[in-house]
Amino acid sequence: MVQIKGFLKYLFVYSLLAVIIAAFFVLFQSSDLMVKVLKFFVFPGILFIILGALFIDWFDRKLFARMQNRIGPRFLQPIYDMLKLLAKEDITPDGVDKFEFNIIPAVQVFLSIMVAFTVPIYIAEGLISFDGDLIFVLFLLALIGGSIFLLGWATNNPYALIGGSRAATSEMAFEIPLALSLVGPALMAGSLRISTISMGLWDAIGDNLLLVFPIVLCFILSIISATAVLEKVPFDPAHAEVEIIGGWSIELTGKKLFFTRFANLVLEFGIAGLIAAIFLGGFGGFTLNLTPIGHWEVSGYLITVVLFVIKTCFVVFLITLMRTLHSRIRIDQLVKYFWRYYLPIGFVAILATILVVN
Amino acid sequence: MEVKTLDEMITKLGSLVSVTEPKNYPLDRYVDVSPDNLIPAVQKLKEHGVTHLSTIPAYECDEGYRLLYIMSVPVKDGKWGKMTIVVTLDKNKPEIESLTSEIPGAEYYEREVFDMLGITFHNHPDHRRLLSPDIMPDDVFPLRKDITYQEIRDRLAAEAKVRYEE
Amino acid sequence: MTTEKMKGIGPIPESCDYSIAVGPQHPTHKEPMRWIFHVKGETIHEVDLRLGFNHRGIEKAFESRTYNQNLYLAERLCGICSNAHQYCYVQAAEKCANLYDEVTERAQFIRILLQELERIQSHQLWYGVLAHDTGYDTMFHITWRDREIVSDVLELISGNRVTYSMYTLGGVRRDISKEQIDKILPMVAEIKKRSLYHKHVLESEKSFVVRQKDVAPLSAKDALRFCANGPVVRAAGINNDIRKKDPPLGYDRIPFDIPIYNGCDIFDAMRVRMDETLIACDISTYVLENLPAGDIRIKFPKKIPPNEGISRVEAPRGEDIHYVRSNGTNKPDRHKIRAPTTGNILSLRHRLKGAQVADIPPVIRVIDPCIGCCERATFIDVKSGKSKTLSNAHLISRANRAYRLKTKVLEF
Repeated sequence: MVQIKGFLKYLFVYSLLAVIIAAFFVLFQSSDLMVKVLKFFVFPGILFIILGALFIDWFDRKLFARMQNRIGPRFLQPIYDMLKLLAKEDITPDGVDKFEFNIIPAVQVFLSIMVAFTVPIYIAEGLISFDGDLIFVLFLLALIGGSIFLLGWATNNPYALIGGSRAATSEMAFEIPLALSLVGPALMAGSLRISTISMGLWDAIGDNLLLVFPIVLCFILSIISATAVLEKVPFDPAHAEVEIIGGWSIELTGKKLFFTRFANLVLEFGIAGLIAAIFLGGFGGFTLNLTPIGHWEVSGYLITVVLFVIKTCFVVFLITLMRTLHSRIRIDQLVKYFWRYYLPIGFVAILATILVVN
Repeated sequence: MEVKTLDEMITKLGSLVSVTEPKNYPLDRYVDVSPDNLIPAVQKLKEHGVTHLSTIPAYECDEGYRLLYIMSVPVKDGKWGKMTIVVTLDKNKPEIESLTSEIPGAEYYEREVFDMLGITFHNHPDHRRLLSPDIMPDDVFPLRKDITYQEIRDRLAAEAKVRYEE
Repeated sequence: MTTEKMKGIGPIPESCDYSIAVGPQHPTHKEPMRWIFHVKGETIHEVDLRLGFNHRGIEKAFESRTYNQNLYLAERLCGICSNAHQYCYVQAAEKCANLYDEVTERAQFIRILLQELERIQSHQLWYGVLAHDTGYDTMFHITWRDREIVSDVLELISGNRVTYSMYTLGGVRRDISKEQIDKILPMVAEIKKRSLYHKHVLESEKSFVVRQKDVAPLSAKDALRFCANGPVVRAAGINNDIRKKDPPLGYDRIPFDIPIYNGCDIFDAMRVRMDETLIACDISTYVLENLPAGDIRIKFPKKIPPNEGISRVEAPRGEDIHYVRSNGTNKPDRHKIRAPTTGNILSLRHRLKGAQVADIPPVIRVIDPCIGCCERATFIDVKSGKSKTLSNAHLISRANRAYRLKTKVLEF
C-alpha cells in the first residue's frame, strides 16, 4: 500500500513537471529562438537527459537488487549519490599529468551528452540529425574509449595503467561487432540516418518477413556490445572493482568522479535509447500514425515520450539481466570471445541481410 | 615402503634416535635426536613415505632451546601417526642445520622460530624475520624467557622514534 | 613503491615492467597481508609476501592464563574457524592430562556435530566470497542469504552465531534436547537442498567456470613438497583429510566419504569444498539421529602434571595443530598453534608465479586465507601501545594536524 502511494506521488510530480514544461513550450511557441533554447536545455535537451540518466540508474539498480532477493535503493537515491559526490573533496595526486587528468572526465560528459542528443525521443529526429549520424555516434563512442585510455595513462598509478590498457584492448575488441550490429538495420532501411532507420525498419520487415532472422541476431549482438561499451559485468575487466580497485578511475574523487559516473549513465541512456529507436521502433511502434490536430499536439507527444521510455527501459532490463546472470571474464577471454564468436555472428547477419534484401 | 606402527618406525631409525618414556597414545611418539643426526633421521623417514611436516614448535627450558619437528608417518589402516623429533640445543649456541634441503615446506616455520627465539638455521634460503615489525631491533627475540613485555615495548618505541623522525 | 626501505624485499628483477602492491588494504583481502607482485604485462613473474599485520601476542597470552580461561582465548583466534581452534586446544589439554580416552560418547558426537556445522558455514561463506571476487555478485548474495539458516541452527544449539563456546575441558558445556533436535533436522535438510542448488549453479555457469579452470595449478608433487594441507591437496588427488587419517574421537563410528578430485586447479578446490558441505550435512543428520545417551562432561583436574600433548583437527581450511605443554601448575607452559593458512602460503607463492594479474583474487582465495589465525606469537605493536592512552577525539585531531602539516610524524 505504501509503495502504491509512493508511486502515485511520483506520478503526480512528474505529470506536474510535464505540464509545466509543456506550458513553457505553448507559451513561447511563437518565438522561434525561445523554442530552440527550450528544446536544447529543457526537453528533449539537457534537463531531460539528466533526469533520464538518473532514472535509468535507479531502474538498473532496483532491478539488479530485486533479482537477487534484496530490496534495492529508493527512488531518489541517484540524486543523493550525485549530490554526495559533488560535496566531496577533489584531490589531485602528485605526479599526474594535470591537464589531462582534470579535463578528461568533463570531456566524457560532453561526448555522452552528444550521443544522447542524436537519440530520437518524441519525434523521429533527435536534436542532432543529419545524414550519416550513425557513423557519428560510433565515432563518439570510439573517442570515449580513447579518453579512458588516456586517463589511465595520465594517472600515476599501476592499477590505473592496467585499467586503461585493458579498456583500450576491449575497445578494439567490441568496436567492430557494435558497428556491424548497427549497420545491419541501416542496410535494411537503406540509409545511415537514424531517423530514417527508426521510421523505416518495420516497414522494410513488413515487406519481407525473412528479415526477422538477421534483425534478431543484430539485436542480440548490439545488446552484448552495449554491455561492453558501458563496462558492465560480464565485460568489465577494465573497471573491475575487486581486482584492480576501479582501474582507470582509481584516483578520481569529488567532482571528477561525479563526471565519470554521470557520463556512464548518460551513455547508458543514449545507447539504450539508440537501440530502442533502431530496433524496437523508437517512439512510435509499428502502426501508431498520429496526425496532430490543434490542441491534441501536446498529448500526442506525451504518448510518444512514454513509449520511448518504456522501450528504453526494456533494453536496460536486458542489459541488467546480463549483469545479474554472469560473472566477470578476463581481458584475454573477452578479446577471444569477441573476435572468435561474436564477430562471425555479425558477419553472418550482414550477409544474410544482403542476400535477403537483394 | 610403509611401516605398520610407529614403534616399528622407531626401530628402523635405530641408533639415530633415543626414546624417553613412551606416552600412551598409539599414534603419538616422541623421539630425541641430537642436532647432528637430524638430517639423516629425516632422510630415513623420507624413505618410508614421510613427506608432511606439520609445524616446528620451539620453547626455552632449563637445558637450552628445544625444537620439535612434528612429522606424519603413514601407518596401517591408512592412518597417519605423529612422530615428533625433539632436538635440544645448547643455550650458548643456538644454531642448527636447516631442514629446507630435505623438506622445502619448512621454510616459514623456521623463519618463525628464528623470529621468536633467535635460533639460526644454516643454509636457509631466506633467513629473515617473519612476523615482527620492520623496526624490531636485531637482538630482541620476543619468546625468550629473559625479556618482558615492558622491555619489548620500550625498545620498539625507541626504534620508532629514531627511525621515523628522519 | 620504495621497496628498498622495506626490510628484505628485493628490487624489481630485470625481466619485469613494474610492481604491483596488493597491499594491506585491498577489496579482495578480508584480512591484511601485503603482496608485492613483479609483473610484466599481465603475467606475474615474482611474488613476495609480508605478513605480520594481524599479529596479537596470543601465544604469550596463553601462558599467563589458566586452562579454563584459555578456552575462550583459543576461540578468538579466528572468527570463522573459532570452533576448530577450541576443539584442537581441548583435545591437546586432555592429552596432557591423560584423559583423552575418557571423554563420553555423547560429548564426542556433539563435538563432531558442531565441527561439521561450522564447516558448512565456513564453506558457504567461502564460495560466496569467491563468486564476489570474480564479479558474480548474484551468487554472492544468494549463498550468503542461505547461510543464515546454518547460523540459525548454531544459535539454537549454542546461543551464539560466531564463537559458540560449547566446548570445555572434559566434554561439552551444553546439551542438545529432544525438542531442539526436532527443530534442527528439517533445517539441516533445507541447508542440503539449497547447497545442492548452489553446487548446480556454480559448477555450470560458464563465465564463472572459465575463470577457474586450469588457473594456477598445483601439482601433487608440489603440494607434498611444500607441505600444503587442506582442500587444495585433495584437489590434487591426495587424501590428507585428518578426519580419516588421524581422527579425533568419534569420527570412526560415522560413515562418510572424502571427495578427491584430480584437476589441481581452483575449480576442483571449489568442487571439493562444495562436496564437503553436502557431506557435512549428512554427517550432521547422522549425528543428530544417533546421538548416544550419557553424560556430557567428565571431571577435569585443575592442575595438570608435567606432560605434553599434540592434537590435530580438520578445520574448514585445512589441518589445524596445537601443541600444549604443561608443567604441574594450572597454567600451560607453552602453547603453540599452527593454523592451516601458514602451511599453505608457501604453495600459494609458488602457484602465483605465471598467473595473470586478473587471477590474483581467486588464487589467493583458493587457500581460504585466514590471516587472523596465522600470526600469533609475542608481539607488542608500538603504535597500539601508544594509542591505548588516546581517546577517539585525540586520534582524530592528531590525524587532522598531520594532514595540515603534511607530515607523517607528530609528537604526542
